Amino acid sequence: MYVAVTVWQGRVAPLFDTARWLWLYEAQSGMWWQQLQLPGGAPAVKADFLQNWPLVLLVCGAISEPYAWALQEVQLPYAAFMRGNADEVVAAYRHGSLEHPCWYLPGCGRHRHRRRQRRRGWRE
Amino acid sequence: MPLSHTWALAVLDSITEGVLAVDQQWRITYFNRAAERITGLQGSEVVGQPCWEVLRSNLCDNSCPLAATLKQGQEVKQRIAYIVTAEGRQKPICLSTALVQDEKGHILGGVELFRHLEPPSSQAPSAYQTVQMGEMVSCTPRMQQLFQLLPRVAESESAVLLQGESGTGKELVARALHQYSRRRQGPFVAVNCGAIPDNLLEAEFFGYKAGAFTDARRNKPGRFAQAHGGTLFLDEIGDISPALQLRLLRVLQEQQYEPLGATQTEQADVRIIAATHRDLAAEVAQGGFREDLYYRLNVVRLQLPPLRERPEDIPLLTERLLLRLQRRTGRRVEGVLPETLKILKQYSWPGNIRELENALEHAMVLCDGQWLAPEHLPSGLQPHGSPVAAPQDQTLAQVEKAHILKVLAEQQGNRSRAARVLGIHKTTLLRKLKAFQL
Repeated sequence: MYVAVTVWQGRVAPLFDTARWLWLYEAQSGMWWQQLQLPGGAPAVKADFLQNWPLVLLVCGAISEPYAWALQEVQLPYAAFMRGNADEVVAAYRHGSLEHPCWYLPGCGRHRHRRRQRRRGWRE
Repeated sequence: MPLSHTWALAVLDSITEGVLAVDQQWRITYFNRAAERITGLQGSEVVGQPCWEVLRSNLCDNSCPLAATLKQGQEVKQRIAYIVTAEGRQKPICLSTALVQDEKGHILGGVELFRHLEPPSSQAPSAYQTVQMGEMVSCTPRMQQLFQLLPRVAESESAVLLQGESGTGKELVARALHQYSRRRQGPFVAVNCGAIPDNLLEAEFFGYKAGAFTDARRNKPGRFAQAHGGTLFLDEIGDISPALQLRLLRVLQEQQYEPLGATQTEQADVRIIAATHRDLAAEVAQGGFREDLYYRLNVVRLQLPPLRERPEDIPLLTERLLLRLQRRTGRRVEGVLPETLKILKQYSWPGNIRELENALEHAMVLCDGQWLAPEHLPSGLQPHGSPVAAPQDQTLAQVEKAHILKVLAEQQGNRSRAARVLGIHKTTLLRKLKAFQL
């Protein structure tokens, strides 16, 4: 199982909609595993691509509603409106401190329900 | 006389365009009041932050206009983009960038000016908040009242009767009730009673045992058995025969049933949700539906409004349905044009959401661009009347003349082809041209 982060210059990409790269980390060890190129295009295309990977969590930056809905449709767990160095974000996730305001994009920490989870079959 | 710093800031705060300045490390150094209004962020929380984390536009990571300005000294003018608010809303903006230099020409940073491109009035967001329940979504108070009821109804074990026109989402409500109920770990079994031949309904509902009739070589569980521990959704319940109504009534009363050919009764551990597009009370009054069964099913009744009574939901539903269609067909479109949306909102939708989905699928098949235009919609949705825009102060003759001219121009002046397009004989066209002195 993996934690995925959409990245840009080693940091969480500012916008999921246009993010081109994905880094996968082993969920248990937190070790960087590999880089994948995300497909462009329709929200559903991106969501379908991500659905093919065994992800415990997708960490991304801002996400617009069509893309968020697409992730929800495939029941992909994600934490959106996040920022920071990708390695550090994954470390924070493993230490259970990803909810700290420092990991949220400006103006987004005050909003709740950032993390969505699979209705079935997912345990953090 | 040089401007004071305070005066300069007051001027920047008074303009309607958002102004954002960055230093050479892309940290925001200034954020005016209009920028706060457009982004929904406070200057105090964004100053010192990297600009991409504040604007999060679709240009940030691949084609940042400020980067082009700062690295190559190129000004960017009137570039269209969108930013994403903290609520996930896409906000279209038009932006321009410029270098910030001191008196000696040293580069201090860059400045970005942006304004919000207001959506067309037909696409203006609803005054109500969008609420999602299961796979349903709505921004209308009527549906939201229904959504509020669902968790409470789901908690009970009572039978539910869903009434609403075809295509209003009765099965989605049933699924939501199952998902919110204590039976959610159990199966959800949907049966369209109207689609099963009457003579097979009994076997379909209760199953049969091997040897019950010719060709019954092995046991077949019925829908009641399949739904054991879960929810049985009986769609189009108004279509079942009087004989089956009686069998169903007995099951509901005794919580037991006998498969065909069985010698022992079986327990029916199911929650029944029934649905119909008919007015069951009227059917009861006319003797077409058993009164006792009606009262057994009608413990909780939920009425689903037709789509024409909630046109405010059409933009939202269109967006959702397009997303679903894109997934199913692999075809990508950006959305619908404002004039298309206007037609969708004006249509009466007798087939409700199912018809809307079909209309959008039709449009996606015909559309070879990125935006669904009115001409891509099924002909039944097209507004009736002349395709020529006819101001109200024009006479019929003026509209006719304008339309003939338009068709002639489209056919490069070829009168034979124009007559065919207009659906009239060539001599009639010539007569009309003469009358209009063309």
